[in-house]
Amino acid sequence: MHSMLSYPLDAPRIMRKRRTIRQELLERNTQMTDKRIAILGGSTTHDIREILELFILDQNIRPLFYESEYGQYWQDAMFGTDTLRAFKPDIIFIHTSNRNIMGYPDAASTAEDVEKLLQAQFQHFVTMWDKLQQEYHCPIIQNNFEYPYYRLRGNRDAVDVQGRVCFITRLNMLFAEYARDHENFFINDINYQSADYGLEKWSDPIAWYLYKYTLSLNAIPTLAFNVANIIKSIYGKNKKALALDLDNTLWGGIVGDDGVENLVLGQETSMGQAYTEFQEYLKSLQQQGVVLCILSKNEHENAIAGLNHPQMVLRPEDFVDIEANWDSKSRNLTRAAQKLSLLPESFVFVDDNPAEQEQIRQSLPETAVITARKVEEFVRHIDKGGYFEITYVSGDDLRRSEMYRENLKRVQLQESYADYGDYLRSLNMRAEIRPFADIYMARIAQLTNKTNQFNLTTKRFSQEEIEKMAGDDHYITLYGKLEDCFGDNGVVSVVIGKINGDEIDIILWLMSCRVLKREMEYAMMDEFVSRCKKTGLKKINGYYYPTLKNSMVKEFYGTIGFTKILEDETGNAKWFLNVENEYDKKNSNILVVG
Amino acid sequence: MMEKLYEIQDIIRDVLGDETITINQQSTAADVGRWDSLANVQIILAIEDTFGVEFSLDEMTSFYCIGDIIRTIEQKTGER
Repeated sequence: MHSMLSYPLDAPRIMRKRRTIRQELLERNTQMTDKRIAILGGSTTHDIREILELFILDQNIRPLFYESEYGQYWQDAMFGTDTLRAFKPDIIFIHTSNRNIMGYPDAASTAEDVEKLLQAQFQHFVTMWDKLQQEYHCPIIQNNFEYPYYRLRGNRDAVDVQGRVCFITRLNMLFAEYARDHENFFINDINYQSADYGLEKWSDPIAWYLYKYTLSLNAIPTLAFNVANIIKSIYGKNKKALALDLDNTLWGGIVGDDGVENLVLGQETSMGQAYTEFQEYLKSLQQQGVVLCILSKNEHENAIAGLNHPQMVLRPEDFVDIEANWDSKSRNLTRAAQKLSLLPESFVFVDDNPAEQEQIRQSLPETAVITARKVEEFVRHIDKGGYFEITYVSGDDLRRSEMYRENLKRVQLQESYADYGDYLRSLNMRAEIRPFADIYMARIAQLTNKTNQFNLTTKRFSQEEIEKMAGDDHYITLYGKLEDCFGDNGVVSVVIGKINGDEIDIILWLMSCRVLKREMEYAMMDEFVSRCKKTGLKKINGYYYPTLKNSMVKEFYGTIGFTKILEDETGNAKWFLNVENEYDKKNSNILVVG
Repeated sequence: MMEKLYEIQDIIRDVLGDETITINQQSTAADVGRWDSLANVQIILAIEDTFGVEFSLDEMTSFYCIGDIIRTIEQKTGER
C-alpha cells in the first residue's frame, strides 16, 4: 500500500503530489487488473477522477475512465452517448450532491405536498438507476446527500417536514431502502463522510462559485478513498484478518512482567475502559466475519493466562490462531497466514510498538499496518482505513472464523494419521457439484474476484456475467460445495467451460485454498468430464496463465491427465484432454451428490 | 518576494509535472503551457496550503499575473 494513500490522509499533499504518486503506483511491480469506470457527475468531477485513480491503482486495479460532460449525469444515463455505450463500463459511479436536488419544500408546503415532492425526487433517481441497470448490467455506486449548509428553521429544520434537513434525511432513507433491495447498487455515504469531515469544511462556497465543485477541494481525497473502498470490496479485495499484539494493545501492561492480576482492563479505570472498548469493537468485527489472530512476543502460557483474564471481552476461542513466542512479528504473521491459507496481504497489523510496525512494513509491504500507537486511537484508525468495507454479504463471510477454526482441527487430525488417504477418508467428505444456482451467484462472483492462488486463468467476472453464462447453453458451469465431519466449507470451487463446436475451453477453474489437498479438484474434474461426455464433446482444452500468485497450479492440468500442446516464453500454456477415450475417475475420497 | 516566486514555481512544476517551467512576476497562465482552468484549481489550492492563506472569491477572480498572487499573499501575511 502506498504510504500516502492510507488513513490518516494528508489531503493537501495528495492533491499537490498526485502526478508523482501516480507515477510511483504505476512503477510498482504488481499485477494489475483493468476496470472501466464511468463517472456520471452532477457537478465538476475532474479532480475527483484524478484522485480516485490513485486510490484505485493502490488496490492493483488499473482504472479506465469515462467522464460525463459537466453536470450531465442524468442525460448520459437516460439517453446514453455513443462513447458511453462503446465504453462498456464495469462500474458506474454517479457523483451528485444536494445541489442536484431539484425541489425543496417551502414554508407553505403541506405534508402532502412534501410527500409528493419527496417521491418525485426519489423517482427521478430510481428511473435513472433502473435504466442504467437494464442497459449496462454493472454495479452502480450512488451517493446519498450531505446535509444543507444552512437551516432556515434552525434546529426545527430537522423536525418539520418543510425543513430541508428533514427532507434530505427522508430522501436518504429512501435511497438506503433501494440499496437494500438491489444487489448491484451501492451507497456512497457522503452524508456520513461530510459529517465526519465537518460539514462547514466540506462545503466550500468558493469551490462551487469558481469551479463548480460541490465539496471543498481538500475533501476530495476523503471522498475518493471512500469510493475506492467500495470498488475494492466489490472486487473482493477486502482484508480478511486482524493480527493483534497483546501487551499494551489488547490490555494495559506487560503480562510477563506485571502478572495477570495487574493487567489494565475493565470498567474501573479510564485506561481499562479504553482497552475494554477496543476489544468490544474487535468482537463486533469478528461477528461480521473478520478473523482475529494474536502475534505476541510472550511465553505462550503467559499469553494464554492474560487472555483468560476475567475482564477480557475476547476469549482465547475468539482467536483462530495464537502465535505467542519470541520470533519476529513478520515470521509469526507469515506462519499464521500459512495456517489459515491466507496471504500476508489479507492482514491488518495492530501493535502499539512503532518498531514492530516498521518491521512488518519492511518485511511484508503488502500487509496493512495501523500507525496508531495508543489504545484510544486504534478504533478510529482501523475503522477509517476501510479495510473491511462490506458490499455483498454472503453467509460464508459471517461464518469465516468458524470455518478457519474447523480447518485448524483438520490439520490437527491430519497430523494424527500416518497415511494421508486414511486421513481423507476419516473426514467423511460430501460434495455438492452442480451447475451455477441462483442462491450462490454472489458467492461465485466473489470467488472469481478474490481467488489468486489456485486459479488457472485468473479471469475476473461480475455477478452479472456469471448469471449470463449460467443461463447460456454454450457454457458448462459448475460450483462445488464441500462438507466434512468438522463442518460446511461452503462453495469452494468454480469451473466454467465455453463450448466451441465439439470442443470446450475451460475459461475458469479456481478453488479456495482452504480445501487444498482434499481431492476436491479431482471431484470437480470427474463431474466436468462426465457433463462434457453427456453433451457429446470430444476434447477439453485447459489454459494456464501465470500470475505472481498462481504458480501452484502451473502443472495442474498435467497432474489430472492433460497433455501440454503449447507454451510460450512467458509461461502461458495450453493443455488438452481427449474425452472420447475411457476416463478413469480421479476422486475416491469424496462422496459426490449431483 | 523572490522566495515566494520560487515556491510558486515549484508548485506549478509539481502540478504540471514539468521541471523545466520557469516563471517571473509578469507570467500569466497563458504563458505557461498546460496551465488550463483544471490545473488552475490545483495550483491555487497548493498556493493557499503552502502559504497558509485563503483567497476570497473576489481576489481569485481578479488575479491576472503571478505578481498579483504574490502581492495578495503579502498583504494577507502582513509583509506589506
